[in-house]
Amino acid sequence: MGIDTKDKKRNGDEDKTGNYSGSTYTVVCNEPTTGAEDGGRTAMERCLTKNPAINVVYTINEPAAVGAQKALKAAGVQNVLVVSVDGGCDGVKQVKDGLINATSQQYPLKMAELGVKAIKQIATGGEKPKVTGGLDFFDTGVTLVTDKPAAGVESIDSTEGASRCWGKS
Amino acid sequence: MTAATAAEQFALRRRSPVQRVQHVLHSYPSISPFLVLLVSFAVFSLINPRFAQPNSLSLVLQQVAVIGALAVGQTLVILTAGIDLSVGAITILAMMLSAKVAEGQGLPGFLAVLLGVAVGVAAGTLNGALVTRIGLPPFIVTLGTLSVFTAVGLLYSRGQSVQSVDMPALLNWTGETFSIGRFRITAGVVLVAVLYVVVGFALANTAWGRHVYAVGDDKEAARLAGIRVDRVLLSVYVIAGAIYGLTAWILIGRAGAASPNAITDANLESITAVVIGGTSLFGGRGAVLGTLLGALIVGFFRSGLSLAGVDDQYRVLAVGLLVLLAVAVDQWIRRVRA
Repeated sequence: MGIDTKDKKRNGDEDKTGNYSGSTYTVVCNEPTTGAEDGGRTAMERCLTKNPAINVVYTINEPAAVGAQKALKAAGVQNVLVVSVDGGCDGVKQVKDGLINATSQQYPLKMAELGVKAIKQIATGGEKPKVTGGLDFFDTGVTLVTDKPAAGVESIDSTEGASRCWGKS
Repeated sequence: MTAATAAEQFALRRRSPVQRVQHVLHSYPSISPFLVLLVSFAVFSLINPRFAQPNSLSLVLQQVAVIGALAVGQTLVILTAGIDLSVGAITILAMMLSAKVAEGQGLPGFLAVLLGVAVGVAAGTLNGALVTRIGLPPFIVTLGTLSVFTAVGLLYSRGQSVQSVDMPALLNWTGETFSIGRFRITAGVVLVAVLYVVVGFALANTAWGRHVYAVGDDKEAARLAGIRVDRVLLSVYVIAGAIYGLTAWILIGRAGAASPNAITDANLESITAVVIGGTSLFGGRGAVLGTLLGALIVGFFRSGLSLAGVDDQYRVLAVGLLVLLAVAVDQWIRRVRA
């Protein structure tokens, strides 16, 4: 479990080691988190035990990222880029609070809306929506939410993210 | 000199080496988990020397603290030949209530912690009352309350987490780290250690403790000996509930949030620690020391195999095999003739 490298059928197709625009990278660890804070913390602790020099962490959702951040803090490891995915209101607030560096915001309401529209269209004899160009699915879109935008990467800040987030309490 | 009586002859009979081992294990149920712990420590340290570093061992302690604490309550219930499937649900309910009330109503930290324990006590009392007053089997009672408490916890929290910044500092205190030599432990770990000492002492050295063993060993014999069986049983569920409520506090510090999605496998993991620790599922035999060893063994396996680069699914498999082995050994030990 966790994200296996170089296995498209399971998760991710990147090599365990390789080059990116900046330099070289090594994926040193992947661990399951159960998508919650306590699991995220335990997973990060195990990864840090394997290699204390980790500098990028990607988690399955924001609660797991918060747990990972807690483990990093307890270990006194600094300057780690923690990124995640979901973009619910809690998660965007954690970006604002600096617990998470960036999160990829999804739009479940838009997915539902477009999905229902497509169903109605097909049911009434209309056409199936076309797949998005270059992909093998229909892309409803995601936006990167971060308060420290990187050059050349499109993103919105956490205030803008909060205005678009889902699961408001 | 008269000839030895049959009983004396029986006591002095020659035993085969295997019987002697069986007898020693029967008298000291914590020996086998202790050996497993030592061997696993040695093996995992050989595979990856990082495993034996104080830092990794400190982390294992922190990782097993929550399940280790829950397993104390589970041990009490299992000693009475019962089982508690509502461990995780009670903990989550207690945690969500104390965190949400502290966040929403501004309840001071001290009272929020007490509220968590009170919720645990109330839930344990319900379990205990259903077992003793209505006479339902503990498995069925806690299977039912597992769903009831899970649902109440989710309804009350609306499935949402409470973040550490929104809670009083005391609720997060259990996650505070400090150093003892090269070891780094949390206040939560210390609390769990105290819990083990207190419950271990109560089980071994108080009348109540002896009654728990007596009831678990043979209910009818305990009743005939003048023990108020129902009262002992009820007390066990209530105390277990209080322990789960206290663990909710430890969990908040550990996770850095109160989330209804935490400790998903707490029920089975707590039973696993108890069983690997040599406490018999048939009641009346075992101790919290064994449970502590059991929880540590699971922690060692999960961390050690992770460091050895073994995929998580195989770690689950390994823990499963350990449980089967532990129960098989328990069955064998129970066949010993005094």
